[in-house]
Amino acid sequence: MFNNLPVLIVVMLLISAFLAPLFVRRFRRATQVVAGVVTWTAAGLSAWLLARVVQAGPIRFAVGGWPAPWGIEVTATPLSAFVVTVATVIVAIVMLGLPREQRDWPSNRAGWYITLLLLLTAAMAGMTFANDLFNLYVFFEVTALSSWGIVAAKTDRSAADASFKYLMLGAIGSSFVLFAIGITYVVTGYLNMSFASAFIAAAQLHPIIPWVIATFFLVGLALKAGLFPMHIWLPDAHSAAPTSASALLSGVVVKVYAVAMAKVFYGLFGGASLEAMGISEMVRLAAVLSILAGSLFALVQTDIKRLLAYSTVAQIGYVFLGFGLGGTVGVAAALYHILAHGLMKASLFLASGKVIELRGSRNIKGFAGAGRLLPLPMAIFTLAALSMVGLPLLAGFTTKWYLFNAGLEARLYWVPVVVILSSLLNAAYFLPIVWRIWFGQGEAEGAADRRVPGLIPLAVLLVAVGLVPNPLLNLLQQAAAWLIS
Amino acid sequence: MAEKLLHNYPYLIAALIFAVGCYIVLSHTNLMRKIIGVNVMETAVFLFLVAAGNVRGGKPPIIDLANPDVAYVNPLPSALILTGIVVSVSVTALSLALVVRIHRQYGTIDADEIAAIRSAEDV
Repeated sequence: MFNNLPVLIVVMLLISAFLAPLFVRRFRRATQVVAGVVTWTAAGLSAWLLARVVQAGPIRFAVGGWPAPWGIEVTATPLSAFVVTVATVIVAIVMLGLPREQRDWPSNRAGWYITLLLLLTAAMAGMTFANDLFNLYVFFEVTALSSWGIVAAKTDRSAADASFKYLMLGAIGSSFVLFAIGITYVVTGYLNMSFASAFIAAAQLHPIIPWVIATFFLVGLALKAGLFPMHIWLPDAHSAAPTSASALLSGVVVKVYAVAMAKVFYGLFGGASLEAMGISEMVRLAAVLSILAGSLFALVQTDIKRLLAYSTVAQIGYVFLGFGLGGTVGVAAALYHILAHGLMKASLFLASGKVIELRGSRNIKGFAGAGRLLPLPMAIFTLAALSMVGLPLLAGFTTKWYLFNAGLEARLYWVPVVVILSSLLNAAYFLPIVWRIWFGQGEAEGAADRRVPGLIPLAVLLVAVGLVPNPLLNLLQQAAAWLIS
Repeated sequence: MAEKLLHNYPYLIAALIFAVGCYIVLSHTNLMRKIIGVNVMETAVFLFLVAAGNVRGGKPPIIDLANPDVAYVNPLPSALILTGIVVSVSVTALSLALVVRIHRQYGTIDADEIAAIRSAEDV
């Protein structure tokens, strides 16, 4: 029973996405509320699916009743159910702010924006559940198209330019992924990952073939995920977007591409042969460069949204590093960071959105004295920033601790060094802002409206996963063990 | 070796076109040319898949029960490409719409000129 739940979640989001623009003109408030309710329902269903999958084992569902390898197969594993739950919960929380954000928008823009958000959520869920490579590609493109759309949602000139840049590099990435899928199909004769991987394991292929497939996937997915040195589109795109879109793009979307990479790599080749081909090494190298370069770029930014975007480049490095290290601890750290960073980055973007609105400028000087005007949002900003730095008892610390251990376990002694160095760099760009917020001298003009919807749930979840990480980590280690085996 | 490569020339050509397309996107500053480059890249992948589905001397894949031993062309890659073309058309449409907006807002469709305008604004 309920084996079709993964498909149901995606279809429900897709249908409501295209209904939104029909009703938004007359009933804008109701449309926003319904969109929120649909996303919360999707989040609830995926949480329930996660609980079921953890208890009863993975679900395989053949779409349309056509069994694999002929039909499209959708799988709900602890990994995919967890990632979809995280994505839908964060989208649902961020959508609480829609009525306020869309106050001055014309109704057709407001409606299509809701469509794009729901479409993005549906596509991310579809991409995570897909076990068929071509199905993965289609959802991959839908995710990309809707993210290009929400980046261009603002009407100022930088938005169109940033979206175009994102689009061009994204399209190159998609072509690489499609090429990799094509080669996989030509070599193995299957599009279903389980069948293709069984073929690759059994057939004595020339070692260059799996290597080419893996490299094409890596280039394509790393481009989309904004891994250094393919991050050049990310700061523009994430800073030009409306606040809620920035929070989602930085907090959720880039991580889904990392998960897709992990799924494809472990699904097709398995950890041991990834290590033997040198692909894991390549992922780790790119991850470390991303962690260090992202933080160094963030240090010199004066625009808060660009600073946060560069920080995303660094943080996506953590996720890739975890997947690259392999082993249950490394993968669990990556999965934990997907949730932790999603919560942190979404809170940081939402809180700074309020400051930008108040000061009318994105310069970090605007944060001076903001603590007195917006005490609660700024307290949450401080909490999230300290968590990024990796203060013990906060979520960011748990990731770093686990990566630290995974590095020692894999006998890669530079990993702990990089983790510590990155914490120092994070402190170097976040602490001055925190100082400015509470001790800076700024205009003390009263803010008319201090509420930032969605910020409190994000902060509560962030504190919860930071204080009691163990039940979650046990679950994630189970998910990681399933991915690796 | 060389004979094998020559025999499989469509794959070689696909790889070549892919590289050319990638070069066009990255080297040109004119946004329209970048869009054309992306299309060239995507077409190369389509060529690769369609060529892979072809069986020399193969018949269209309509099962004829009278003589079942005929070699058929593999229809699956063509079906995939159809989806691929739909995706590529929508990406092109979106990028053309963005170029129209960029032209309206910046008065140019040259990436370097746009970058110059933006850096002048930042100072």
